[in-house]
Amino acid sequence: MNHRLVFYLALIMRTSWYRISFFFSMNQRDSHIALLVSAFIPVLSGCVEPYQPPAIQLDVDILVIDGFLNSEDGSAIVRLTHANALSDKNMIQPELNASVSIQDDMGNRYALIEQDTGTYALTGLNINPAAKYMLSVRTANEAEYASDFVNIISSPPIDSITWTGKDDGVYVQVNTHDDTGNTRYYRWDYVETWKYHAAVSSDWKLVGKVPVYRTDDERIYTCWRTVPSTKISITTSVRLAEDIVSQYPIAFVPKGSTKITDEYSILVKQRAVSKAEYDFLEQLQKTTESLGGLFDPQPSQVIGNIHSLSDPSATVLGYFSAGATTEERLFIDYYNLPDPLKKLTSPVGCEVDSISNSDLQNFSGYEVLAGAIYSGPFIVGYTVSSAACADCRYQGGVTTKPAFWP
Amino acid sequence: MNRFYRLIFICCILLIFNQHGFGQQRDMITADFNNTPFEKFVVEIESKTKYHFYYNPNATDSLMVTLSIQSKAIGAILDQLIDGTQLHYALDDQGNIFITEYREIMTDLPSDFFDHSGTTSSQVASFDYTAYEKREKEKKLLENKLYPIGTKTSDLQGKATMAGHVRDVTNGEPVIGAAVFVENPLIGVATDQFGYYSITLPKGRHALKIQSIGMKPTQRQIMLYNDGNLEIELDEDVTPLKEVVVQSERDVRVTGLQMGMEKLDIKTMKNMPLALGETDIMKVVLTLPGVQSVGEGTVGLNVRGGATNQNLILFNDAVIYNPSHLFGFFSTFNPDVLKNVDLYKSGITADYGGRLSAVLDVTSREGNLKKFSGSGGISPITGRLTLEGPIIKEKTSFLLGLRSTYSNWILRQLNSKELQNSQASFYDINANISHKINDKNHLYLSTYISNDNFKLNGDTSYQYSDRNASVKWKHIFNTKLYGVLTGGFSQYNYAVESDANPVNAFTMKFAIQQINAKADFSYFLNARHTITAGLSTIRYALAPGNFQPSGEQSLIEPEVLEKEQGLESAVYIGDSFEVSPKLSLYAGVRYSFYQYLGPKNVYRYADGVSKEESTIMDTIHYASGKSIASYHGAEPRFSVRYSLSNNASLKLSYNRMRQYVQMLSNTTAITPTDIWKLSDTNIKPQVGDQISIGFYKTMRKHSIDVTVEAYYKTMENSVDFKNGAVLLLNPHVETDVVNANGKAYGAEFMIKKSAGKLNGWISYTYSRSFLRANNSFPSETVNQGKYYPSSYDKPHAVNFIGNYKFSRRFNFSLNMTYSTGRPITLPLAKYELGGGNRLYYSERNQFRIPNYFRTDISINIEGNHKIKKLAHSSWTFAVYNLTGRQNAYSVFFRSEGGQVNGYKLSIFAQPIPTVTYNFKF
Repeated sequence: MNHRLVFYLALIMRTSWYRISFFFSMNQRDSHIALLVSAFIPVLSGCVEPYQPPAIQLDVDILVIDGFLNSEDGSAIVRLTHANALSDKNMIQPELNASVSIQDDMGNRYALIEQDTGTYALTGLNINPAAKYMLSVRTANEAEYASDFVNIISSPPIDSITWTGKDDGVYVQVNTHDDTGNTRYYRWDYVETWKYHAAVSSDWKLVGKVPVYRTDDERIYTCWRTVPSTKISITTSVRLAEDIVSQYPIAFVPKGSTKITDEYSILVKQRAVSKAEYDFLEQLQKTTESLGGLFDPQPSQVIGNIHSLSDPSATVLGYFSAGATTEERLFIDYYNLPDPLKKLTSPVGCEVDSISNSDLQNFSGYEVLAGAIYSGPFIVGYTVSSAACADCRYQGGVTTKPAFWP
Repeated sequence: MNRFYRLIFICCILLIFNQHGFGQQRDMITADFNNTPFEKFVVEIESKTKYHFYYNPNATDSLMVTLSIQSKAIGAILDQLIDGTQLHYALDDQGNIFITEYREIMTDLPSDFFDHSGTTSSQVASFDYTAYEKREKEKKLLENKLYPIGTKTSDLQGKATMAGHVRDVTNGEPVIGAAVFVENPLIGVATDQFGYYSITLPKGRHALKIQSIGMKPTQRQIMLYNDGNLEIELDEDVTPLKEVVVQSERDVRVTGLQMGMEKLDIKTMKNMPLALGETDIMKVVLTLPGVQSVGEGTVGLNVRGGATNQNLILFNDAVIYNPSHLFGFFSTFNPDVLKNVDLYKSGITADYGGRLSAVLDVTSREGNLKKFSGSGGISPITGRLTLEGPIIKEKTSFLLGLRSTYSNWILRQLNSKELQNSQASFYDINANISHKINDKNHLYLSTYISNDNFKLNGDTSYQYSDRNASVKWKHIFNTKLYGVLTGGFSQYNYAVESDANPVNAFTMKFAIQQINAKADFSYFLNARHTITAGLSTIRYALAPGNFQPSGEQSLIEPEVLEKEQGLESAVYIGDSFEVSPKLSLYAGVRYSFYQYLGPKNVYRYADGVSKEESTIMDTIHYASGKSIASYHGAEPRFSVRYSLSNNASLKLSYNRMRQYVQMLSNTTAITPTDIWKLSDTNIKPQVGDQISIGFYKTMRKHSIDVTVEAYYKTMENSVDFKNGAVLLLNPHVETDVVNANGKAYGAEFMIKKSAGKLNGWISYTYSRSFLRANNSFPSETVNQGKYYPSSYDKPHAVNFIGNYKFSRRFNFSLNMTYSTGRPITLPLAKYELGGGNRLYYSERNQFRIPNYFRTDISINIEGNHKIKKLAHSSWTFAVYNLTGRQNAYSVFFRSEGGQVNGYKLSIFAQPIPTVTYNFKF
C-alpha cells in the first residue's frame, strides 16, 4: 500500500503548485488558468533529480546464488555471481570452478555441471514431487554454502492474459486461480517480443563498392526484439475468500513506444511460490523498486534462504527454489489498438540524402543505401540514410522472425 | 501630555476631597481688556470672582485678550476668548475653569468610576475620546486607586493570600502566564491556564505589578488586610512601536522554576513566514532548539532525540493522535482559535504523564465575553472563519472556528484527467463554550473535529479523522485552593478504501479511542509552597484493523483483528518550594498503573527462541475485563533553580516518564495509516529518564535572553522493527517488533531578543540520538546489537528567526534554518537476481542525506489603524525557500532497465510564493 504513496505525494506536490498558480491568476479567465497550470508542470518534475552517492567502498566480497530446480522438465540451473560496488562500471563477476550440487531429503545428491560464465546446470533429473531439495555450493576457495530444504511447488495454469488500451498506453493483466486453494502466492516473469521497422527502408546494399539489391533474407527493414522482464511481479490471494488472481497488472507499454508500432507479444511465465519466497521477493521489490517516497518503509538488508557454512556471520545473497512454471502468450496487433494509441511518432532526425553513382567510391560505411534514383531506365544515384534510421538492428532487434511468431 | 494628566489628577483629587460643591456662580462680569496678556486676564477675573483658572502657560503665552465685557456670564466670556484659537475650556461645579489646548477635559467622572468591577463604561457622549484613549485614562485611574483586600483589620502582622484572574479588557479572555508580582520584597507568581493567580504577601500596602506578552503592563495599589480577591484586566498593547513589549516569560525564564519549556503565543507565530500561506504551530515549534523532524512536509516532531509518538499533544486537555492534514503539509490546529502553545522538553511536572519525550500543550481561546467578533483568512489552499462572542454578556461565551480547503474544486478545474480523478480535502471545526457560573465556579466545554479525505487518480481513497471533546469544571474553594475536574474523549480513526478492481475491492479501518477523567488541585499553602496534586484515569479502546470486502463482486475475506482494551491510571503530588529568594525547587512524583484488559486471545511464544509465527505455543483466552498484563511504577520529577544574580540563574531537572501506548511505524515519516498499539504481554511499556541542566541570563534591561541547556536521556523498551516488518493487519505484530533501548544527549544555545523593533532569536543545537536493539536472537537484533543513529538524529541545527517592524503597518520577517541531513540506509553493492539488478543495503542508518538549508521571508501589511472600522484586515506576502535550494528530502535508488540509478527527492525545490488575506471584525 505504501509504495503508492510516493506517487500520491508527487501529485500533491503538483497540486499545491497548481493552487498557487491559480491564486495568482484568479481574476483571469479559465483558459488562462489552464495555461499557467501547464507552465508549472516542467518546473515540478524537477523535484526528483539524479543523485550520486558519496563513494562507498565495498570491502567485503558477497556471493550471490540464484538457483531454481524445475520439477517439470527435471532441470536445475544455478547462477553464481558476485555483488559489485554501486559505482563499479564493470560487468557482474561470475564465480567459476565451484562445485554445485542438489540434494534431496533422502540423501540423493546430483552434481551440476559448470557451463559458461558462472552458470551451473543439470538436465534429466528425476524429480520426486513429495521430496524436499536443497542446494550446496563449494567455491574454488573452499567456502561452503547451503540452502534450506525447499518443497516442490507446482503452479496452476494461467487462465488468461488480457490487455486494455487506455489513453496513456497498453496495460497487460494476468488472471489465474487455484480451485484447491493451495497456491495463494504467485510470481510471474515475462518476456516481451515486438516487431518493428526501421524509419527508412533499405532496398540496396553495397558489396565492395557495388550496390546490390537486397534479397528477402538480407532486408533490414523489419526486426523483432526480445527483452526479458527485470522487475519483480508478485501477488497473493491470502486475503481473498477464493484463491483467485484477477486482472493483476503485469506489464505496461506506454503510448508512443516502439513496442506497439506493429505487433507486440508477451510470454508470461507463472510460478507458485512458498510464503517464505514471497516475503523475500516482496522485500526485494520494496527495497529496489519503490523506495524513496515520504512514506516508504526504511530499506533493509534482504537475506534469502542460503547460508554460509564455513563462516555463519558471512553474508550470502540469493534464493533457491523448486517447482514448475506454466506459461501463456498474448499478441497485440497495432490495428486492434484504440485510436489514441495508434498515433505513430515520426522518428526525429532521420534525413534521407542522395548520392550519385560517381560518389559511391567515397561512400562512408556509416550510412546505408535506401532506394535507387532513376533517370529513365537508368539508375543515376541512390538515396542514403544513417544506419540508425535505415537499419532496424540498431535498435537491438534481429531480422530473424522468432519461431513462435505467426 | 504629562501636564495634562497631572491636571486631570489634580482635578480628581479636588473632586474627591471637595465633595461639597461651592454652588453655581451666577456672577456677572464687567471688564475691559485691550491686548492684555492672558495671565493678566486671569488675575483680573480671579480677583473679581471666585473662579479659579487652571491652565498650561506654554499653551496660552501667546494669547492676547482684547475684550469689552458688559455684565456677561463667565461662559459667554470664555466662548468669546477661545474663539479662533486651539483652546478649549471646561467649567465645573466648584468654579474651576480648565483651559486646555486641542481638547476639552472632562469635569465629571465616568459614571462607573466607583464601580469596582472595572468594566468599561458607556461612553460619555459629549467627549470625543476614542475608546483607546478612554481605556488609557481608566487604566491610569485604576492604577492609582487603592484597593483594600480582605476584611479590614488594624492588625497588619503576618501574611495574607490574595487571588483572582487576570483578563484581557477587550474580550474578557484569561491571560495565561502573566507575571503578578511585587518588587519589594520580590515575590511573584505567574497566572495559570485559567488566568488565575494566587499570591501570598506580607499584609500591608503594596504596588502589585502585572505584566504579560503583548499586553500593557499595569499595576494595582493594594492594601492587603486579609485573604481576598482582586480581578485584574489588562489592556492589549496595540502600539507596539512606541512601547517596550514586556514579555511575561522574560522574567519567568530566569526566575521561574520551569526549564526546558518554550511558550509561544499566537501573535508571535502569525508573524513568521511559512509555506503555503498558513500559520502552522507545528512548523513554528520546529524552529525551536531541540525540536526536529525527519523532513519538511511531515508533521511529526522529534523532541530531544525522542520518537514522534513519544510526544503528548494536548488540545484543550484532550489528546490528539494525528495532528496533520494532507500528509503533514498542515497541522490540524486552526491558527485563529489558538491562544498559545507550551512545549515542555524537560523538567516536566508530575501533572503530565503518558508519553516519554515532551508535552505540547495547545490551548484555544475561550471566546469574547464582551462583544461579538470574528476573524478569518483566505490563503491559496484554505479558507477559515472564526466567530466568537458572548451568549450571556460577561458570563458565557462561545468560539466557533471553521477551516476548510477548496482544493477539490481546484482539482476539478484542471485539464489533467489524472488530477480530475483525484481528491484532496480536509476540514477542521472547533467549538468552545465557556460559562462562568459564579465567581467560584467556571465551566469549559471544548469540542474539536478534524477530517481528511484524499483519493488520487481514482484508485484508493483515504480518510482519517480526529475527534475530541472535553469538559472542565473549575472550582475555587478559597483563595488558597482550587480544583479542576476534567472529562475528555479522544478518537482517531482512518479508513482506506479501494475499488479499482471489483474482485479485490476492500475497506480497511483502524480506530483508537480514549475516555479519560482527571481531577487536579492547586493549593497555595503559603508564600513558599505551592502544592499540586491529582489523579487521572484513561480507558483505551483500540480497533487495530477491520478489513472488509467492498461491493458484491469482492472476494475479499473479511478480517477483523481483535479489539484491545487498556486502563491507565495515575496519582501525583508535587510541591513547588521557595527555599530562599535565591533557591527554589520542585519535587513531585507520579505513580502510574496500567492494565491490558480482556476480552482477548493472547499468543504465548516459546521461551528462549525468537518470537515468530512458528514459535507460537499457545493461545490463551482472557475474559472481558480480565487483566492480561499489568505494569506500574513511580515517575519521580524534580527541578531546582538557583539564582546567581537578579539576571542569571542555574537550573537542574530530572524526570522519569512511562508510556503505555505507542505508534508502530516502519516508515521514516508518520503516515496516516500508522497504527497505535497498547502495551501488552509481549510489548513492554516504554520508560524514559531525562536529566538536564541549564543556564539563563537576561541582559540589556531584560530585552535579551541567553539560554544554554544540556540534557542526557535514556529510553527503555522503545520499539524498533525487524527488517521488512509488516505492521498493518498483523494479528501477531509482536513478531515483527524488536525491543530497542535509546539514548540521546545534546546541548542547546539560544539568544532571544523579545523587545524592540528588531526581535527574534538565534539558536544552535548539538544533539545526538541513538537506538540499540541487542536481543539474544539474530532476527531481533539490528546492526549486530550496536548503537545506531535513529532516523531523526541530526547533530547540528541552527535556526534564525528575525522580525523587523518598519512601522505599525509593515512588518518584515526572515527565517533561516540549517541542519545536518538525517541518517539513511544506502546501498553498498548491486547484484543480479531474477533477471534484474538488486541492491545490497548497508546496516541501518549508516549514511546521511545532504545537509538542509532554507530561507523564508514574509511581509505583513496591516490595514489602517482606525479603531472604528467595520473590519480590520491584513495581507501577508511570503516566500518559502527563497533561495530555491533543492533540499533533499530523501535519497533513493531504483533498478531501472538493468541499471541502478540514484535519485534525490526534494519537496519544496523552488521558491514558493503565497499571499494570504486575513480579516477581523
